[in-house]
Amino acid sequence: MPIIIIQPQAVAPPMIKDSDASSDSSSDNGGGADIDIDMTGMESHPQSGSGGAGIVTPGQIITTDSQWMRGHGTQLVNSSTIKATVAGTVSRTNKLLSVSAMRARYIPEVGDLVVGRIIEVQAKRWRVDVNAPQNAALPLSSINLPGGILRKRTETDELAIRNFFSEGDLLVAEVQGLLGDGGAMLHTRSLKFGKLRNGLFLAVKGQGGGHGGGVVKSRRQTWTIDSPEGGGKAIDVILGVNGYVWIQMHVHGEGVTAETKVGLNRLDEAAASAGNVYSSQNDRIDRETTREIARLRGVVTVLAEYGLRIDEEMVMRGYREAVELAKEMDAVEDIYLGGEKGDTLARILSGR
Amino acid sequence: MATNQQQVLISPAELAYLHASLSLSPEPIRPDGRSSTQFRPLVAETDILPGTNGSARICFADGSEAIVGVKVEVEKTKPKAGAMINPEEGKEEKGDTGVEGGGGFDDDKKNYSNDWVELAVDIPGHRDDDPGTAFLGNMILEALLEDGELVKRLRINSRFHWKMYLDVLLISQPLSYPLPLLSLTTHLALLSTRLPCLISEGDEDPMFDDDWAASTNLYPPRGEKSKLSTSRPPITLLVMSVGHSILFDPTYEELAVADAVLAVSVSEEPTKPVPQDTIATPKQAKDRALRLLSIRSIDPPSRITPPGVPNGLNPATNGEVAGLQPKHAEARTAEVPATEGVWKAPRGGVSRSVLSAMVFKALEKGGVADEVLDGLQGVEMASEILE
Amino acid sequence: MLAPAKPINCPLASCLAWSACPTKKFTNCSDSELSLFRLPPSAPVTTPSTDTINRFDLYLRATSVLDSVFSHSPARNVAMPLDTSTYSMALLRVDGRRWNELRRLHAQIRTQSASDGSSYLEMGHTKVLCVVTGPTEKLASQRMASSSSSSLLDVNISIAGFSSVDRKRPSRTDKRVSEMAFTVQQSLNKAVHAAIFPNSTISISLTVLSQDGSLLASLFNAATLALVDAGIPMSDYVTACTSGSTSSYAAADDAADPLLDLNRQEEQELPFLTVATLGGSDRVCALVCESRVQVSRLEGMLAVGVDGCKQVRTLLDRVIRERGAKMIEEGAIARGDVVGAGDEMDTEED
Repeated sequence: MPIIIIQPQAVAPPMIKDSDASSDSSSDNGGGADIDIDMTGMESHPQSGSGGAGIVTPGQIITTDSQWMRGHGTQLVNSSTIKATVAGTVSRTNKLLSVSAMRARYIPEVGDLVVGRIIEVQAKRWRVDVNAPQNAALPLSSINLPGGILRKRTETDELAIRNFFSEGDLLVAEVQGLLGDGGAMLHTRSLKFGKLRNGLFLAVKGQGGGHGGGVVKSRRQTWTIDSPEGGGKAIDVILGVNGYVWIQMHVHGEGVTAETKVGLNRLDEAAASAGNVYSSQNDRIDRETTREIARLRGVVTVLAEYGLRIDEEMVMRGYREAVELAKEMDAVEDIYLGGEKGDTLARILSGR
Repeated sequence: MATNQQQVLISPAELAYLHASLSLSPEPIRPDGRSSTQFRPLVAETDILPGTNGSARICFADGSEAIVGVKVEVEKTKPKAGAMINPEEGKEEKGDTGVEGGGGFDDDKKNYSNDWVELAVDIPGHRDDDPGTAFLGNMILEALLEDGELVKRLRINSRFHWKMYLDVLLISQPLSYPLPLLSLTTHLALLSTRLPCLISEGDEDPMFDDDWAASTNLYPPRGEKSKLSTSRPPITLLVMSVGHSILFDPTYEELAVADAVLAVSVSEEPTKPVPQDTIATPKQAKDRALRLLSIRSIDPPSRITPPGVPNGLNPATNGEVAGLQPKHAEARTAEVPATEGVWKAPRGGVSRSVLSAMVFKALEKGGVADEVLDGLQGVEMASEILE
Repeated sequence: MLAPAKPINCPLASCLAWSACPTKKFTNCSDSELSLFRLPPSAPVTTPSTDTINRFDLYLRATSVLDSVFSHSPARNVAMPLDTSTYSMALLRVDGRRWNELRRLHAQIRTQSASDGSSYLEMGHTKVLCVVTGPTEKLASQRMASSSSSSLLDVNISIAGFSSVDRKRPSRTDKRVSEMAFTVQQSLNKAVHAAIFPNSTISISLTVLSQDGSLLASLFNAATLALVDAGIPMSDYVTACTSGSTSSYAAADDAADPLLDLNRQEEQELPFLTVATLGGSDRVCALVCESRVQVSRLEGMLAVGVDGCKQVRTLLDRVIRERGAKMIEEGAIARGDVVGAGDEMDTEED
């Protein structure tokens, strides 16, 4: 069946669902084209009595106690009253109160591993799209130059800036610092970082930043699957904290999961392998590996579409389940995870 | 031909990977795992806006969303002399005469005019006189008018007709080339379109039944007695080829490595009106004859993608480190011999055999167009059950 | 789906031709310190003499809410007059509501997965879709253009051709539409914490699918919901609704009562205004009046409108909370930390 058409799931239910016990009887008299709601006498925040673990919404007072300090997603009014400015959950770090939004764009933080795409090449730096409110900057001085890791930057390098990265190129980098206006500075000063090749890109949009599903910051953002289904080559998965995901064939001794520990005594070797950091030439990839890369991408897509957490554990569980599902149906070749299969997979993964 | 002319921001390494993956034989591996003829799953609903004569909304799982609303108004038909006659339409109608069944049409045939249908496309971030938008609108309209079936249905009597306004709205940012999305939504909106019931007779000034429940479908559902033929509105499918692979419903990134992209408009060959005493069974509905209305080639964005640089020529990869400036520039722009794993934008056309295979795959019995029409039929029926 | 009677669009039946009034005044607060609108102690109702006008005028100036409330709309050619004579007798309006009742308000957020924020809002039969993209990096051209008036928000309204009773060709250059976009943009700009995103822009794209009065108010509400969905920090919801008066200007009836949330038919016949407030407070952030109305009726209308905004806020807040509760239930987001039970307070300031 080439086309799956899903019935809309109550896209426009005509009535307001009354899940709040405290709401009045507004929907009891339903049936007419216009249901009148007399809200007089209804308290304005039905949730406010039910404890702070729920959702706060913009304008809601979180506390009036002056012992707390305001963090992200809050504002201070009248010197001691802290109000929420986004809809989300309250999180408390010692005396700091912040609200993490249910969904928001990625806000860069120092040390984040991000996958980015070059948007613009300027005189001495690149502008990189990292799915944040502003493009990040990658200065020419923050990359490893080929031909010796400690080489001095020269004018020739500036002129040949497009040889390293040009518009559209994908790279993996780390957030080195933040500017006053919230913009991020990146660096690729490690053999783990650099241009991406041999793989597929996927953007998990609209829910970066580690809350509300999407890619969450965890112990490991990158890992290698040594023996994927079907006997293909090893596969690397890179989950950028910013919601950009890269899945590639693992090349020994290269890339983010490289085994080599670069020490001073191995500079030569490092320099040699650094050659491929700026390559845009793919290696030969066999059918099995290609298939499993696409299957992994499908797993991440399902996790994203069903609002589930995306981290190593979930992706690997999802991948194993997806392989099982395919085997059950006796179609290991069938890697498509849309429609019903996606539903099944999401149900298994969310434990419901 | 215009498509989204914005620069494709995909790296040469990604393009090379996509190209290799999509041109795998026997079956290509698509990045989202679909088979080559499979569409993205979509959510479709009809009759979403009570204020219109017909409406539909389609959402793809990736978030692209379109809404189409249909409005009709009574308009006085211009006298014959002023009417614009589409020569092709005239020809086709001769062929259809036998199918027409309910006489009386033949006399006023020349009065049909393609002006009776007006279509406007709205794409966020694009002006409505943007060439890309206008091209999209024209492609959808062209398919609708091509077989003359729609216009025929708009006739009231020799002096009046319905003027139909189709408003096609793309709600999301154009994530991929929106033509198939818009076309399928238009198809559904037309299927759900209802016209007020005519109570006047002959060439009088038209009078209509105020009761909306008495209104009739512009495209009567199968099995309903009607003097009109059972044709359906056309659909336009997007087909692309990479190497020897032929893919339907390509995504943005797949289009970026396409050798050729075709927009194939297909409609159902009108069948004989259903005899009064038999009710069409699903099996009968299956036996549809498809008719090719138009093929347009769309300039794929792959032509303007930046080429990859082979390691051997890239000074940053220990290639010719001696690299002099002019030489670099050359390496990026000039024709470099094809190296495996390095992206090179496709040049030139595709062979006739590939093109004909693309069209054939769309049209064959039980092929993609057939299945898509079946799927859309299901949406129509589901909405009737809800009523 | 509730299926109300469909309008039939033949010229014989369509008589509710809508005519845009060419002269109108949009008024926005220019000041970030929004004025507190409180009703003055009930002023004695007199005939609209110059005396009362001046008094009211002064009062308005003092609150810096309006620069002018008076504008003259041309006579509208409405063939089917709305019979408002029964309003005071039956206490019910043409659609069966009482004077202080909102129409059915239905809203959803996250209607589109690809966007940063999205919403769908119905106020009666007025239906609006909103898609928020951003915050994203300002384009170079935008940076140039808006160097003086750095605006975070970019509002775009497109009114579908099929949204009104008669099909109207959508036009990008419609002055009325661009004024509405400007009003929404200016007012929301005040609520959004723009300082967090100095070099960014947020594009709000509103699509009107169906019009049945209170259009500007619906645009406000839909945009607010989508902004909240996109996680854009804002000091509070900006909610809006319309309020009108039970008899037309020409009737010179000073005993006219205020009405809440007018539908299209009422809007055509009766004087009305659109008011938007910040949160559940009395802080008015936009007030638009395009019709001719006696000054004496205005305060009543405003008070009813501001009260309506509070009701709308409650409804919108519930939409967000329901969504959040569902996400917590599904485990998509973790439960929040409890900030000492004693610290919990109701948000209502009064």
